[in-house]
Amino acid sequence: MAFTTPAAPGATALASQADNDNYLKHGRGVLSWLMTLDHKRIGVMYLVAVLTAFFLGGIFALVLRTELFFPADASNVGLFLTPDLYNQMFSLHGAIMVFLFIIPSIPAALGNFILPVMLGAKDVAFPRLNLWSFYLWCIGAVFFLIVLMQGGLDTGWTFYTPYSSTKSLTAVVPALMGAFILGFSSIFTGINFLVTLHKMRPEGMTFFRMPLFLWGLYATAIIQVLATPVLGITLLLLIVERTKNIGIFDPALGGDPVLFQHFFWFYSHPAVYIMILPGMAIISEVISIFSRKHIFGYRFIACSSIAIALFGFFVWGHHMFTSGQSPLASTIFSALTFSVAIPSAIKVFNWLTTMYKGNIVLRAPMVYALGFLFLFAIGGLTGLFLGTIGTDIHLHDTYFVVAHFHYVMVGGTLWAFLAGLYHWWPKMFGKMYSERSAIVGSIVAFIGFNLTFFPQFLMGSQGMPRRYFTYVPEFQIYHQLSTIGAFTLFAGLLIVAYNLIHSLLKGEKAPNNPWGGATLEWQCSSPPPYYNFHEQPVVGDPYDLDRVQWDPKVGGYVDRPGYVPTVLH
Amino acid sequence: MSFQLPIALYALVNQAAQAPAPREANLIFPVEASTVARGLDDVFYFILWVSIISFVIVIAAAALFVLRYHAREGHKEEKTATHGLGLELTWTIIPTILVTIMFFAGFKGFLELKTAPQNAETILVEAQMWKWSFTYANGAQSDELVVPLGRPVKLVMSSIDVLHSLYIPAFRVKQDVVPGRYTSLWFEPILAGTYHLFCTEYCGTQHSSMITSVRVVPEEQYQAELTELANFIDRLPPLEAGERVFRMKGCATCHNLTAETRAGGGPGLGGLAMNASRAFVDGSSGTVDEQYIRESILVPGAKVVSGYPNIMTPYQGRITEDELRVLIEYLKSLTP
Repeated sequence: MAFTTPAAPGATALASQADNDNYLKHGRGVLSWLMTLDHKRIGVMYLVAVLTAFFLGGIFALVLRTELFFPADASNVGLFLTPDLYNQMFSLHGAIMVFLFIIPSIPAALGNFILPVMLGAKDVAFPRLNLWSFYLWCIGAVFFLIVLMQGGLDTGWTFYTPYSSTKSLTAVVPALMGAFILGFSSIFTGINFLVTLHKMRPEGMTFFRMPLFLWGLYATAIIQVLATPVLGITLLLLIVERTKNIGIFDPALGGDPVLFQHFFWFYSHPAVYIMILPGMAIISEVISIFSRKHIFGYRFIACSSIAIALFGFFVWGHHMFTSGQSPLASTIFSALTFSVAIPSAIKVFNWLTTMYKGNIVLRAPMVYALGFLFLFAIGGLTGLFLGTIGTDIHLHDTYFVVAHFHYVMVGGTLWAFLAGLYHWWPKMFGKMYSERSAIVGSIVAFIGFNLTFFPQFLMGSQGMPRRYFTYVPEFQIYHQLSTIGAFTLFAGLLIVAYNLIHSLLKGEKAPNNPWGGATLEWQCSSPPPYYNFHEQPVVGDPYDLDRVQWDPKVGGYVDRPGYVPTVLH
Repeated sequence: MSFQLPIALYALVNQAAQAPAPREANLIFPVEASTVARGLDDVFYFILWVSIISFVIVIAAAALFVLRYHAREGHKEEKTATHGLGLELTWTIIPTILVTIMFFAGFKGFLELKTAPQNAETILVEAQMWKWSFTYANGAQSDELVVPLGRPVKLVMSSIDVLHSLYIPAFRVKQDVVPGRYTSLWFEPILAGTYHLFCTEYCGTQHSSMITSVRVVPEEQYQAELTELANFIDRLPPLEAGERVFRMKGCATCHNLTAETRAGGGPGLGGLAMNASRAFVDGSSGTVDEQYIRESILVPGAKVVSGYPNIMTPYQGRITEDELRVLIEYLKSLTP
């Protein structure tokens, strides 16, 4: 398919003239934010909200790690926590990090802001639903605050029955309500993105001409819409059992506890891909732009996102190899699990090939992307030990698993989130940040992260179970390394936070296209005008970086004069 | 079920195979103290080497590209192909082959883990919040697991309350214990010694105290210990027998022998008889006597001491009259 419209270099110029009217200045006062239907403002509110949750969940993690510096004494008295408080801390750490931070982090915060701009569109398909999604997040968060005030939650984020339904003395019902409501927040974001991507792509942008970030969000949205309702139903059934004693999961009432695990992981395994797919999608953008190269194997990367989303629905039983499910089921789930490994491997090799013979610019987003590559490789490869059924029996529910999923969710998703945040920060707020402190923060966090979680692999393969308030003496050295690492990681993230806040207050003005991206969000001003584009930007190959050239006058990239978009091969 | 056939075939082939020597404890694993451990670890090491090689390839390539192609004066990117079916199929197919090998190797180990020999010694396991109880063929019971060296043992497990999971790292075995049904696992210990036995499914307040040990002893000692464990109440003086019941029933997980409260547990039991009166959560109070202690063991929810949650498992039907008698004698003997 060929393009009929010629390039319109005037669009950028117009956009920068209209600098006085950007979305941040369009409307003043608190209400103009709280009542806004602008996807950009909703994205920013989401960003503030999820980062607050991340901070809280992080503090809980530090409390846990501090307690674990020493085992409890002979009377089971810990450093400063009781066993009950410890159990509540790890439960809330998990629940807050999963439901309030990681799942909404990239799609709802960065995705909300960038997706319509990448489409050259004015907004998402359903702006009101979008705002409602944000408010549902807030209501869900309020429920978790209620949990905190009503004496915590001690079931783990997994709510396994029958402990959660009949034994736990903590505020399980408000936590279930909170997770239920957060589920709807996630579903609404998913629906919005699906419809927007189907109906609002600009002329010339076929599905296979979409930027890979949008492919990632599309695959994520499929999971959000198809899997989350199952979690909702499961949580409701659990509430019914806990409040009305109707036997569903508790064998004492005639229920089946393993059924709960099937329901729970039918959502929660695909949810792992809600967490990692958008992260991978950010990495695809960043590696191409900062290597100054066309992405390698666009179609394979795009299709691998969809493959991961679909295969992800058929592997939930690998969380249950020791649960008492039939050996035949375990065997089938083990085999299917490996199907998810292949698309991930394809992505990694395609990213590497993209870097080959490039002009690799080691700015903050790329440094985080390289960190992602390192950490995600470890996280992904250690998954092989857990997918292999014979070795998983020994490793299941030990610190090996804890280390594995932190390498994927923190080393993978958080690093990608930070790569994306640094990548789009100039676009979102029109400010540059200190490159040096961004990279220093990245390195400190990287060292801290590895020091926290690498010893946990060894501790796990030695047999240390997870969710333990105390431990037998031989594990102490690993716990102490891990705790020191956790504080180092925290210090690294504080540098990141300081850097970004400093940028907001004192950062230099950002050019429209600081990194030389060819996707459409770089065609509007930084920060974008209220309506995103004054003129419809022209769609080209999103990875044809010849579209732009460096202009020392503006300190950024501008459209190459006379550039004619080429068709994707 | 069609699944029986491969299991039977596998068991047949496996009998012919020679068991290789177990590895010592190392940085990654505890000692390989059961027949299946070595084979499972072999699978682990295979995956480990594949992972290390893949990781080195990826990271070395990334590092090399960063070193050679980082942006600098006079360096410019080169246009290379934007896709390549051959290359992409290569890194689709090679990983597919590798993970297929991993799957089958793991499957083979799993079959071994799931196929208990017919002649295995059966030991019943009962899990509760928060203790393990083991019942042997002669009716003897213990709170730590004693197993004979060099003979297959099958654990038939049930839980009286919530999910637990029995895990013996040195044997590389783990199985959830599910209320309302039996689950089982088996192992054949090949090294005498004492090993950890953990609960690995989160089960509430004292989850991390639900630890005991497995003692692997020679056959004669095993038989002798079982005999000694059975009917000990008839043979031992009441206080000694009571102390053993206290241990066996898992009381120590939540109660100190002094007057001090155990963290996350119930009141300390030292000086019980001297605390003539106790205040309860419902505002009432009562006197400590044999009947009070008996009721607190059998139906702990009836009178809950102020300041404590009602989380103790009722022992109604889980303790014999004889056991109760010596236990109460023992509790009364404790000083603060």
